[in-house]
Amino acid sequence: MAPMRTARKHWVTAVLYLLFSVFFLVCSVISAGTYSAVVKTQRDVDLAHPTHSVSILPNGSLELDFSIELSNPSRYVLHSQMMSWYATLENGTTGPGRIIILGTAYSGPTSGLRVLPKSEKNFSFSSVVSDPAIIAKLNGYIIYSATSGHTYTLTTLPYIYDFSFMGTIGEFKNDYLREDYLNQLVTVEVTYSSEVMA
Amino acid sequence: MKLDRSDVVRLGLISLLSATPIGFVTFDFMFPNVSTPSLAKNLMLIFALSVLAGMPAGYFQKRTDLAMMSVILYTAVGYIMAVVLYSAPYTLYNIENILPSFYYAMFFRFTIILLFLYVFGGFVGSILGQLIRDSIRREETKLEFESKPETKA
Repeated sequence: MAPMRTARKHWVTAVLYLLFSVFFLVCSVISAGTYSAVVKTQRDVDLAHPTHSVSILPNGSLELDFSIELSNPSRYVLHSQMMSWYATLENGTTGPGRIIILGTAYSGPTSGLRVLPKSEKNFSFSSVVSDPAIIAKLNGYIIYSATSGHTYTLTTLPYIYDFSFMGTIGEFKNDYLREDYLNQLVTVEVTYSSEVMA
Repeated sequence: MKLDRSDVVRLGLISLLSATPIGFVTFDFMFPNVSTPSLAKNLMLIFALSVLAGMPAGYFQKRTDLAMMSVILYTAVGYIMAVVLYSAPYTLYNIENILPSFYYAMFFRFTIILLFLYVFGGFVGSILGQLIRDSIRREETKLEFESKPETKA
């Protein structure tokens, strides 16, 4: 066959051409594998086992505890860029006092927090509410709710716990100025709310 | 354009072998942070690679029309390969978060400059390939004649 004869005659060029092609084929397979693993990481990283409790301390302060587990089944380390926790109570009235904030925590990219591959990391938060003004608001909420038939105590109020984690996957470049989709590709964002889990 | 069987086989082989750099570069252009190695959207490098990818089309084919056709064919096959690479996570892991409009945007709208570079670079490469082949043939012929003993007429 003519093409085979040509290849045999120019075997050095043919072998170089074959190597050139195979090199890019291998690169493509590796890159597609990495891309798939990154997309799979975005899907698989999840929050699990959220627990929260409220207790009244002997001095009358309110203690809110919250913990949640971040599972990272991927082969990449997750570098925390932002982590936040809020414990709130929605007051139901409009205006600046609608949300009663009972506890917050935030850490930015400089925290250096990492979640190792194929591991789970537990995050625990605690907040002690001792401000009499906030306790008075909570008691007011209990009294107001009683008029509409709800019987709450300080420990059974419908507190809302929100947790959010945003991290970057592995060591992939994630500081593109224009191509934001590339930053999003290597970013994992998981959120939990005691109302809705996403 | 007349094609015999060996031309078709040649076209097919070149379309497959030269498509791999095109497929990889197209994918790398869209996802430079996850590809290995990455050309980091360097258009000059991409053009140089396009020239290199086009050279075999000219080197292994005497007919210029077939060489040009090979360039268009391997660019098309390369694009198909890039779409397959882009679809890998959705195919492998059955992830449903798929945006069909990305296919159009990523491979035709954003990469229109690449398409130009591939085709233009491929044409330049095929011409270079033919020049190299002709040069080698001339050299071979020269050596063949020089090695023969001189005969008097």
